[in-house]
Amino acid sequence: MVNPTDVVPHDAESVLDTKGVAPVTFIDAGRVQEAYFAAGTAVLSRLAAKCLEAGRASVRPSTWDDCIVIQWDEPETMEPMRASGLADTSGFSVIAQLSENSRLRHENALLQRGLSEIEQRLARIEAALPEVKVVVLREISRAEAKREIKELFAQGEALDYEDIIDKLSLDLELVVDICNELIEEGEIAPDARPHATG
Amino acid sequence: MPDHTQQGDALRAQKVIAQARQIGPRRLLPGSGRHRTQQVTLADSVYCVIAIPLRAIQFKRSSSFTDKHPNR
Repeated sequence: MVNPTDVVPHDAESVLDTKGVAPVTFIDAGRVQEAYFAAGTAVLSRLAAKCLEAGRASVRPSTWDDCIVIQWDEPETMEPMRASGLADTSGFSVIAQLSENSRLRHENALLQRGLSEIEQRLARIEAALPEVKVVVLREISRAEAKREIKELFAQGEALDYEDIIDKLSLDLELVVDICNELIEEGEIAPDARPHATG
Repeated sequence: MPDHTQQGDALRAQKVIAQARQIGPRRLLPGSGRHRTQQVTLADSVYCVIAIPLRAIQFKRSSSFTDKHPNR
Protein backbone atom coordinates (compact mmCIF):
# COMPACT_ATOMS: atom_id res chain seq x y z
CA MET A 1 0.00 0.00 0.00
CA VAL A 2 1.31 3.40 -0.99
CA ASN A 3 1.59 5.82 1.81
CA PRO A 4 -0.07 9.07 0.64
CA THR A 5 2.25 11.12 2.77
CA ASP A 6 5.11 10.11 0.49
CA VAL A 7 3.77 11.83 -2.61
CA VAL A 8 2.14 15.06 -1.49
CA PRO A 9 4.19 18.24 -1.39
CA HIS A 10 5.82 19.09 1.88
CA ASP A 11 4.72 22.70 1.62
CA ALA A 12 1.08 21.80 1.34
CA GLU A 13 0.04 23.97 4.28
CA SER A 14 1.62 27.01 2.70
CA VAL A 15 -0.28 26.32 -0.53
CA LEU A 16 -3.49 26.13 1.43
CA ASP A 17 -2.56 29.36 3.10
CA THR A 18 -2.36 31.16 -0.26
CA LYS A 19 -5.88 29.93 -0.98
CA GLY A 20 -7.05 31.61 2.18
CA VAL A 21 -8.18 28.44 3.91
CA ALA A 22 -5.25 27.54 6.07
CA PRO A 23 -4.48 26.58 8.70
CA VAL A 24 -7.36 24.16 8.79
CA THR A 25 -8.30 21.20 10.91
CA PHE A 26 -10.25 18.49 9.17
CA ILE A 27 -13.08 17.31 11.33
CA ASP A 28 -14.92 15.12 8.83
CA ALA A 29 -13.87 13.38 5.67
CA GLY A 30 -17.23 13.12 3.97
CA ARG A 31 -16.75 10.77 1.01
CA VAL A 32 -13.11 10.14 1.67
CA GLN A 33 -12.55 6.59 2.73
CA GLU A 34 -12.39 6.07 6.46
CA ALA A 35 -9.02 4.43 6.21
CA TYR A 36 -7.58 7.38 4.36
CA PHE A 37 -9.08 9.81 6.81
CA ALA A 38 -7.54 7.78 9.54
CA ALA A 39 -4.15 8.56 8.02
CA GLY A 40 -4.43 11.91 9.71
CA THR A 41 -5.39 15.50 9.15
CA ALA A 42 -1.95 16.43 7.82
CA VAL A 43 -2.41 14.01 4.93
CA LEU A 44 -5.83 15.33 4.07
CA SER A 45 -4.55 18.87 4.32
CA ARG A 46 -1.80 18.11 1.80
CA LEU A 47 -4.16 16.34 -0.57
CA ALA A 48 -6.56 19.25 -0.48
CA ALA A 49 -3.66 21.62 -1.07
CA LYS A 50 -2.46 19.67 -4.06
CA CYS A 51 -5.90 19.72 -5.65
CA LEU A 52 -6.35 23.41 -4.94
CA GLU A 53 -2.94 24.14 -6.41
CA ALA A 54 -3.85 22.25 -9.56
CA GLY A 55 -7.13 24.10 -9.75
CA ARG A 56 -9.02 20.85 -9.44
CA ALA A 57 -10.67 21.55 -6.12
CA SER A 58 -13.14 24.14 -4.97
CA VAL A 59 -13.86 25.67 -1.63
CA ARG A 60 -17.48 26.29 -0.65
CA PRO A 61 -19.18 27.31 2.58
CA SER A 62 -20.43 24.62 4.91
CA THR A 63 -23.52 24.60 7.06
CA TRP A 64 -21.33 25.50 10.05
CA ASP A 65 -20.11 29.06 10.36
CA ASP A 66 -16.58 28.11 11.29
CA CYS A 67 -16.11 25.45 8.61
CA ILE A 68 -15.59 25.22 4.88
CA VAL A 69 -15.91 22.34 2.46
CA ILE A 70 -13.04 21.55 0.14
CA GLN A 71 -14.28 19.42 -2.72
CA TRP A 72 -12.59 17.84 -5.74
CA ASP A 73 -14.03 15.57 -8.35
CA GLU A 74 -11.08 14.11 -10.18
CA PRO A 75 -9.72 11.20 -8.25
CA GLU A 76 -7.30 10.36 -11.08
CA THR A 77 -5.14 13.20 -9.85
CA MET A 78 -4.74 11.27 -6.68
CA GLU A 79 -2.76 8.39 -8.10
CA PRO A 80 -1.51 7.27 -4.74
CA MET A 81 -5.09 6.89 -3.61
CA ARG A 82 -6.08 5.08 -6.80
CA ALA A 83 -3.15 2.77 -6.40
CA SER A 84 -4.10 2.12 -2.85
CA GLY A 85 -7.62 1.30 -3.89
CA LEU A 86 -9.03 4.13 -1.85
CA ALA A 87 -10.13 6.29 -4.79
CA ASP A 88 -13.04 4.33 -6.15
CA THR A 89 -15.51 7.11 -5.51
CA SER A 90 -16.17 9.80 -8.07
CA GLY A 91 -14.90 12.59 -5.90
CA PHE A 92 -13.73 13.64 -2.50
CA SER A 93 -14.84 16.21 -0.05
CA VAL A 94 -13.64 17.22 3.35
CA ILE A 95 -15.01 19.60 5.88
CA ALA A 96 -12.32 21.81 7.28
CA GLN A 97 -12.59 23.80 10.45
CA LEU A 98 -11.21 27.25 9.90
CA SER A 99 -8.66 28.74 12.20
CA GLU A 100 -9.84 31.49 14.54
CA ASN A 101 -8.20 34.08 12.33
CA SER A 102 -9.85 32.78 9.17
CA ARG A 103 -13.19 32.50 10.91
CA LEU A 104 -12.96 36.09 12.12
CA ARG A 105 -12.03 37.29 8.64
CA HIS A 106 -14.97 35.39 7.20
CA GLU A 107 -17.29 36.77 9.88
CA ASN A 108 -15.97 40.29 9.33
CA ALA A 109 -16.67 40.06 5.60
CA LEU A 110 -20.22 38.89 6.30
CA LEU A 111 -20.77 41.70 8.81
CA GLN A 112 -19.40 44.31 6.39
CA ARG A 113 -21.77 43.07 3.71
CA GLY A 114 -24.69 43.08 6.15
CA LEU A 115 -23.85 46.58 7.35
CA SER A 116 -23.67 47.85 3.81
CA GLU A 117 -27.10 46.36 3.03
CA ILE A 118 -28.58 47.91 6.21
CA GLU A 119 -27.11 51.32 5.32
CA GLN A 120 -28.64 51.14 1.85
CA ARG A 121 -32.03 50.14 3.25
CA LEU A 122 -31.89 52.91 5.87
CA ALA A 123 -31.08 55.48 3.18
CA ARG A 124 -34.06 54.33 1.14
CA ILE A 125 -36.36 54.52 4.19
CA GLU A 126 -35.07 57.98 5.14
CA ALA A 127 -35.64 59.21 1.61
CA ALA A 128 -39.22 57.95 1.69
CA LEU A 129 -40.05 59.41 5.10
CA PRO A 130 -41.54 62.89 5.35
CA GLU A 131 -39.50 65.34 7.37
CA VAL A 132 -40.49 65.09 11.03
CA LYS A 133 -40.70 68.29 13.01
CA VAL A 134 -40.26 67.88 16.74
CA VAL A 135 -42.44 70.14 18.84
CA VAL A 136 -41.67 70.56 22.52
CA LEU A 137 -44.91 71.48 24.25
CA ARG A 138 -44.93 74.07 27.00
CA GLU A 139 -46.77 73.33 30.20
CA ILE A 140 -48.57 76.48 31.20
CA SER A 141 -51.86 77.12 32.92
CA ARG A 142 -55.07 77.19 30.94
CA ALA A 143 -55.61 80.87 31.78
CA GLU A 144 -52.13 81.74 30.56
CA ALA A 145 -52.67 79.72 27.37
CA LYS A 146 -55.97 81.48 26.72
CA ARG A 147 -54.37 84.89 27.20
CA GLU A 148 -51.57 84.02 24.74
CA ILE A 149 -54.02 82.72 22.14
CA LYS A 150 -56.11 85.89 22.43
CA GLU A 151 -52.98 87.99 21.99
CA LEU A 152 -52.12 85.97 18.90
CA PHE A 153 -55.54 86.57 17.34
CA ALA A 154 -55.29 90.24 18.29
CA GLN A 155 -52.55 90.59 15.66
CA GLY A 156 -55.27 90.19 13.04
CA GLU A 157 -54.06 87.01 11.35
CA ALA A 158 -56.28 84.11 10.38
CA LEU A 159 -54.98 81.10 12.27
CA ASP A 160 -55.86 77.45 12.44
CA TYR A 161 -54.90 75.09 15.25
CA GLU A 162 -51.66 74.12 13.54
CA ASP A 163 -50.55 77.75 13.32
CA ILE A 164 -51.31 78.28 17.00
CA ILE A 165 -49.42 75.13 18.03
CA ASP A 166 -46.43 76.16 15.91
CA LYS A 167 -46.32 79.65 17.39
CA LEU A 168 -47.13 78.86 21.03
CA SER A 169 -46.05 75.20 21.43
CA LEU A 170 -49.28 74.21 23.15
CA ASP A 171 -51.15 70.91 23.29
CA LEU A 172 -53.61 70.42 20.41
CA GLU A 173 -56.58 69.48 22.61
CA LEU A 174 -55.99 72.47 24.86
CA VAL A 175 -55.83 74.80 21.85
CA VAL A 176 -59.06 73.34 20.39
CA ASP A 177 -60.81 73.67 23.75
CA ILE A 178 -59.75 77.28 24.26
CA CYS A 179 -60.63 78.24 20.67
CA ASN A 180 -64.12 76.73 21.11
CA GLU A 181 -64.47 78.81 24.26
CA LEU A 182 -63.36 81.97 22.44
CA ILE A 183 -65.89 81.25 19.65
CA GLU A 184 -68.67 80.91 22.25
CA GLU A 185 -67.55 84.17 23.86
CA GLY A 186 -67.76 85.91 20.48
CA GLU A 187 -64.04 86.74 20.41
CA ILE A 188 -63.16 84.76 17.27
CA ALA A 189 -65.04 83.12 14.41
CA PRO A 190 -64.27 80.93 11.40
CA ASP A 191 -62.65 83.00 8.70
CA ALA A 192 -64.60 83.08 5.45
CA ARG A 193 -61.57 83.97 3.37
CA PRO A 194 -59.27 81.26 2.07
CA HIS A 195 -56.55 80.53 4.57
CA ALA A 196 -53.13 81.70 3.49
CA THR A 197 -50.72 78.80 3.30
CA GLY A 198 -47.02 78.61 3.83
CA MET B 1 -68.18 71.00 20.00
CA PRO B 2 -69.10 67.30 20.09
CA ASP B 3 -66.52 64.52 20.15
CA HIS B 4 -67.37 61.70 17.73
CA THR B 5 -66.35 58.36 19.16
CA GLN B 6 -68.65 55.81 17.51
CA GLN B 7 -67.82 53.27 14.83
CA GLY B 8 -68.45 54.85 11.43
CA ASP B 9 -68.33 58.47 12.60
CA ALA B 10 -66.56 60.41 9.89
CA LEU B 11 -64.91 63.77 9.38
CA ARG B 12 -65.02 65.43 5.98
CA ALA B 13 -63.10 68.65 5.63
CA GLN B 14 -60.49 70.56 3.69
CA LYS B 15 -58.03 70.16 6.53
CA VAL B 16 -57.88 67.87 9.54
CA ILE B 17 -55.18 67.90 12.19
CA ALA B 18 -54.56 64.52 13.75
CA GLN B 19 -52.35 63.10 16.43
CA ALA B 20 -51.81 59.47 17.41
CA ARG B 21 -49.24 57.27 19.03
CA GLN B 22 -48.96 55.10 15.92
CA ILE B 23 -49.12 56.27 12.33
CA GLY B 24 -49.14 53.59 9.64
CA PRO B 25 -47.49 53.70 6.25
CA ARG B 26 -48.90 55.99 3.59
CA ARG B 27 -50.77 54.26 0.80
CA LEU B 28 -51.21 55.86 -2.57
CA LEU B 29 -54.74 55.28 -3.81
CA PRO B 30 -55.29 54.83 -7.53
CA GLY B 31 -56.47 57.85 -9.43
CA SER B 32 -55.16 60.29 -11.93
CA GLY B 33 -53.59 63.70 -11.73
CA ARG B 34 -54.98 65.96 -9.04
CA HIS B 35 -57.52 63.38 -7.89
CA ARG B 36 -54.84 61.07 -6.62
CA THR B 37 -55.08 60.71 -2.88
CA GLN B 38 -53.26 59.03 -0.02
CA GLN B 39 -54.50 56.97 2.88
CA VAL B 40 -53.02 56.50 6.30
CA THR B 41 -54.13 54.67 9.44
CA LEU B 42 -53.78 56.19 12.88
CA ALA B 43 -53.95 54.04 15.98
CA ASP B 44 -53.75 54.35 19.75
CA SER B 45 -54.95 57.55 21.43
CA VAL B 46 -56.07 59.08 18.16
CA TYR B 47 -57.37 62.66 18.21
CA CYS B 48 -58.51 64.40 15.02
CA VAL B 49 -60.01 67.84 14.64
CA ILE B 50 -61.27 69.82 11.66
CA ALA B 51 -59.12 72.91 11.29
CA ILE B 52 -60.84 75.86 9.70
CA PRO B 53 -58.90 79.13 9.99
CA LEU B 54 -60.16 81.39 12.75
CA ARG B 55 -59.90 85.14 13.01
CA ALA B 56 -60.68 87.67 15.72
CA ILE B 57 -64.14 89.14 15.23
CA GLN B 58 -62.87 92.74 15.17
CA PHE B 59 -60.50 91.96 12.27
CA LYS B 60 -63.08 89.82 10.54
CA ARG B 61 -65.49 92.81 10.30
CA SER B 62 -62.87 95.28 9.11
CA SER B 63 -61.37 92.83 6.64
CA SER B 64 -64.64 92.33 4.73
CA PHE B 65 -64.08 95.66 2.95
CA THR B 66 -60.69 94.60 1.62
CA ASP B 67 -62.22 91.31 0.49
CA LYS B 68 -64.48 93.22 -1.85
CA HIS B 69 -61.78 95.66 -2.96
CA PRO B 70 -58.49 93.78 -2.95
CA ASN B 71 -56.69 96.53 -4.88
CA ARG B 72 -57.32 99.28 -2.35
